[in-house]
Amino acid sequence: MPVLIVPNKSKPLNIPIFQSRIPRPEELVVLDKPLLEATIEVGNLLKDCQAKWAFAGDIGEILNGVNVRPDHLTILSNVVGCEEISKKLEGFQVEASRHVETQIKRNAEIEPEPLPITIKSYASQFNLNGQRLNVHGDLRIRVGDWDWGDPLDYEPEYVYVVGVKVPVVPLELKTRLYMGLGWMDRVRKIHEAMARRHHKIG
Amino acid sequence: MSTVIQENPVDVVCLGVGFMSGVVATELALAGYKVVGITKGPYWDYVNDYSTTKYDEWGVGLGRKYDSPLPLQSTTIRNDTSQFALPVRRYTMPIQYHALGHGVGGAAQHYGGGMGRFGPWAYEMASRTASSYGLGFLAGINPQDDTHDWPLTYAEYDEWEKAHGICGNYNGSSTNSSSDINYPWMSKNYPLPPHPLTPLAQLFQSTVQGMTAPNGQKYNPFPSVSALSSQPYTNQYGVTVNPCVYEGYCAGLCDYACETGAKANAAYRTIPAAINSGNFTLVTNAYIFRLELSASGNQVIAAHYYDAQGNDHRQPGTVFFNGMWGYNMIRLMLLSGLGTPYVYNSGTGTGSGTVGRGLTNGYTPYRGTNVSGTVNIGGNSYPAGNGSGGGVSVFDLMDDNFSHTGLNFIGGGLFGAGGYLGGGPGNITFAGGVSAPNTANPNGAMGSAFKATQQNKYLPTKQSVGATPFAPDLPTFMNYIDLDPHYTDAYGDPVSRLTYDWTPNTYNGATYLVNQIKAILTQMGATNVTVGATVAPYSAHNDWWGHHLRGGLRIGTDPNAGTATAWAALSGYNQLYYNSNTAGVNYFAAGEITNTTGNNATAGTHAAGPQSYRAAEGIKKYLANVATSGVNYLAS
Amino acid sequence: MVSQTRREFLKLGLAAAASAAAASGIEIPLLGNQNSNLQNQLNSANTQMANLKTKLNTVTGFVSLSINEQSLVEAIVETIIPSDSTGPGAKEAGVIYFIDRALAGDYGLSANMFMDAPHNPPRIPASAGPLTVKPSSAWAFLQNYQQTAYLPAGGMGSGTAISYPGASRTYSAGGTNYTVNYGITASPRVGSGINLQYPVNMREFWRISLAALQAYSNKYYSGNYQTLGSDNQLQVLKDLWANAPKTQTNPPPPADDLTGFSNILPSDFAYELTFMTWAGFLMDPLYGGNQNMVGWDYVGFNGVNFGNFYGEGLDQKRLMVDSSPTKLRPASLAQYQQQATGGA
Repeated sequence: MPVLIVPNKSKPLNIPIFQSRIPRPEELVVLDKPLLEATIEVGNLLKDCQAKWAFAGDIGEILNGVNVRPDHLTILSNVVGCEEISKKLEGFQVEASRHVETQIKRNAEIEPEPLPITIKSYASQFNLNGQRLNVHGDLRIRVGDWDWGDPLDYEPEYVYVVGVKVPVVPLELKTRLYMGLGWMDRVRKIHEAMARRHHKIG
Repeated sequence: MSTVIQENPVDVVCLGVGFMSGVVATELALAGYKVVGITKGPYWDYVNDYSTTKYDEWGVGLGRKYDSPLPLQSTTIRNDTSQFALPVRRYTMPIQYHALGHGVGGAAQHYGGGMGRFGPWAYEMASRTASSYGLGFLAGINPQDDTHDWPLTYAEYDEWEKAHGICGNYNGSSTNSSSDINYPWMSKNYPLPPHPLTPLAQLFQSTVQGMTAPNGQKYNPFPSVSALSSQPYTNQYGVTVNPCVYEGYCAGLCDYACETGAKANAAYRTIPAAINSGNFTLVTNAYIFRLELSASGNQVIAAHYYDAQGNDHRQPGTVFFNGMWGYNMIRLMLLSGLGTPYVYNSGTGTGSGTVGRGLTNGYTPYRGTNVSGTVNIGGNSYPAGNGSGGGVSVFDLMDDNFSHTGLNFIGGGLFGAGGYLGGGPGNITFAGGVSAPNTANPNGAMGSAFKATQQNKYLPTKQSVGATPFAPDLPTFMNYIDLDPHYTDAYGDPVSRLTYDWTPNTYNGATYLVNQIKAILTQMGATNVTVGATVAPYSAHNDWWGHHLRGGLRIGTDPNAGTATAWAALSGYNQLYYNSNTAGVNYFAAGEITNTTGNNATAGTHAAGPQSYRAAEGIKKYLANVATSGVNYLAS
Repeated sequence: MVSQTRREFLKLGLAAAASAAAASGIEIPLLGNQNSNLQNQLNSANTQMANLKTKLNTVTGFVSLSINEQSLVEAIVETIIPSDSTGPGAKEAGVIYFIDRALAGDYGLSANMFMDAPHNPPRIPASAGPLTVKPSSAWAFLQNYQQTAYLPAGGMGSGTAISYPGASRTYSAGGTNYTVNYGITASPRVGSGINLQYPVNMREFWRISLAALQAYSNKYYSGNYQTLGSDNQLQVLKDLWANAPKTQTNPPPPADDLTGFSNILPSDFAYELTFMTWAGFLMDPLYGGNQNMVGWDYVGFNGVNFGNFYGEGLDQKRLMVDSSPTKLRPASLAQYQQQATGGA
């Protein structure tokens, strides 16, 4: 360990210096302010929601300390929940709820070759002060030409955002999804976040 | 010959990177200003630096491997000006426990995580006492009294608590509805819910709910406030926070450092947002030794620090914020010739000057009058997993919440019970030190009889409950900070000297309050409830010099009594006050809490923490004025 | 490797998920959900690895204590924490090895102590004459600020010593007079950071003091400490606490010989002996003492077992709110590190 050097001192001191590395911004988990405020607003507006709902996607993960950079909000719910959410977020809706089936950008990275991923859900979109919110009801996933999966179901876990309590999709479900899709980079990020939370070295 | 390395000028230079600088740096960086933060320690990466090496009471608790090295800088201590102030030569408990921070996060890398709020009375101690009990009351109970009011409000608490994820009554779920009426400031929503209560806390809570407090109302218990996050949390800066996992060698004597970031600390709450903004530069292993003044003497124009190789760096800036630990902050100002140093005249019993004035202490004197009893509630005393949760407190024995007519003290104390047990295995060695042979233990801590008292000590089937209560330690001309004439730091500059002893208010308050607590213990069903022998003022001296010391740079509206203005700017540093002996118009300091109340709210937390928001606001105003008025404050 | 025949990935069994993770070299993450099946599997695996790979090394041999010191310290620590009917003591815990290693390392070197001169003892009675000490030259710079407040009478140039007279002072408040009798320096409780105002490091402090203790034992108890009966061994230590080597009257010590304690206060050494013995009994085994965690077992401490280290399935968060105790088998820091790195 290096020692401290003091000017004009004939005898070196034996005071150790801890080498330390200042983290780069990309290593820190920080949620951008506009999205943070939108999260709080949605959390407040959906406080008395009867149906099951939770923040999903990247926003659901960063609220649990995972190092991702969401640029929009995602909510996972069921069809009944979508109707209730549309009512509570009335002024912000930009796309009415409808059944949507679409292929997502990233493929399933599995052997022997990557396969496209299709999702279908009862979907709607909202805009809160320039921040996009996608709401999915009864989301189902299909890899390649395999069978459709069941609608994603979960028991929400709760986190707090500046004093508002909000539900998020459990990280365990996300981990299973990512492992099944072969997205090991995402598994690793969750693992690192949990290592930080449980003081294990990574 | 030595060359000085010139750094690029910035808008704000933060001295020290602890709680205070964390707030200022983040607020200003997010507002678009260029900020530099300088600390003499490293950036602690809690995952890698703490996670597998922290569970080490010997290395961490006594060796203080995460702490400020004493050979780098120590301090000297004495009770009175007639004494030769002795240097603190090693870390032990009680005498020199934690004080100076080291590295990002500062002193709050090692605190228990207790939090709270002051009541309105605490901010107006002098004027409220005068109006309730007459003008001469304070002078009559506090020799050489130097108590003054502060100009602070509750608005700053909100931002502070949100930024740091403070746990307490959440969504108004107070344990007693009347608390909302009597003490709204105590039970207003906190950002996070409290930690689970222990059985003892529940017993205490249900007991006092049925008892009448001295003010004639029922007691109002509330969960003790904690700075350890109880849930996953994201603060207003978008920084995510891990919840406490209750596994951390947190309480007791393992230097309190938190390896998951659940314990509120600038390193895990504010600084990440500052770094993320791209406007903040962190300089570590950098020892600040001087503030450079302009030729005219009324501006701070640069901070000087040594890097680990001994090079002198000159960091110019428009505004300087001093967020260093208490007496270290004062020391830097004295070394730099900033402000008028406080000088005490023992002959007249008064003092002149302001920098270093009003040193107080916010922790129980170990040898005040005490009261205790035994309850048949056992527990696990070994988990050292959460230093601040589990308990319940009452505010009713504090501040002016009962009449002091005819009494010889003001204020009172925060009393609670039921906090989580546990503190590292070395409690008997480190907590209070091993005892000499005495009446209770004729062989002291030696031999079979004493050894047997330690068997299964961490598996108690009953507990001792009680307190050495604590009324505020009042500012007096006698207690202060200055520079020591005999000892220096590693670089050859004088260390700070602390001249301090408890004021009578603390002892007199203890002697009175033990009777209230005795009644509570009896009602709880405690056995063997005993009030200890009365400890008279000055019969026992302060023997705890560390983390709960406060004061030295009072914030106030009277420039003769306090150095800092309402914006935490140094008096003489803005257009409202001008004092020809001061310098540094652009200089802001953390603004010490000089007045204490009856809890161990420390300088880095309760009132000083929210004060940092006030300082940030003042700095923004100042910089806005600089921008519009075009005055070049960088000119030497 | 995901099987091609598996058509619905969301019905993955646990094994498939685990093998997918293992194939990518990713450890299954800790999900923090105590009821998680994944979590239980992980706990079980970790426990097995910890039990297989843990070796609790115990320390023997000496690197610092001399031959004479070894048997002396051994006898002293066994006086302080004897092996008796309640359980093992300093001997079984290897306390002497803790002390030996500490004396050889930072503790002995006073590495994290402030060792600058001047060295003034903390207990000068008020009856003694004033203490005068010259200020350090570090104050010279203050003249630049015209801060005459700090300059001693006579000014910096004269190097005039500062006089500390000691005081008895009376303050009045509220009709009550408070009289304070200050010695010249603070008089702290035992165990403070200002007790050790000696110009020697801890290793030297022990060397001088151990020799002095032995000399005292020979002079007043007619033999080496190791040879005394256990009652007298305890009494010698109590004598040190009472500073008897300085005040012994039968016979009184010669004027020029204070049994070799020199300027060291015997009670300071008694404190250090007792303190380090208990530290040797209770600190992590990495430091040589508390061997096989017998100290922790005796006091009921858990080390780094937070409730599930050995697969007990307990949770510290719940243990903290129990009203009756549960004893856990302790785990050491070395075991924890082995487990945390997956047994590496």
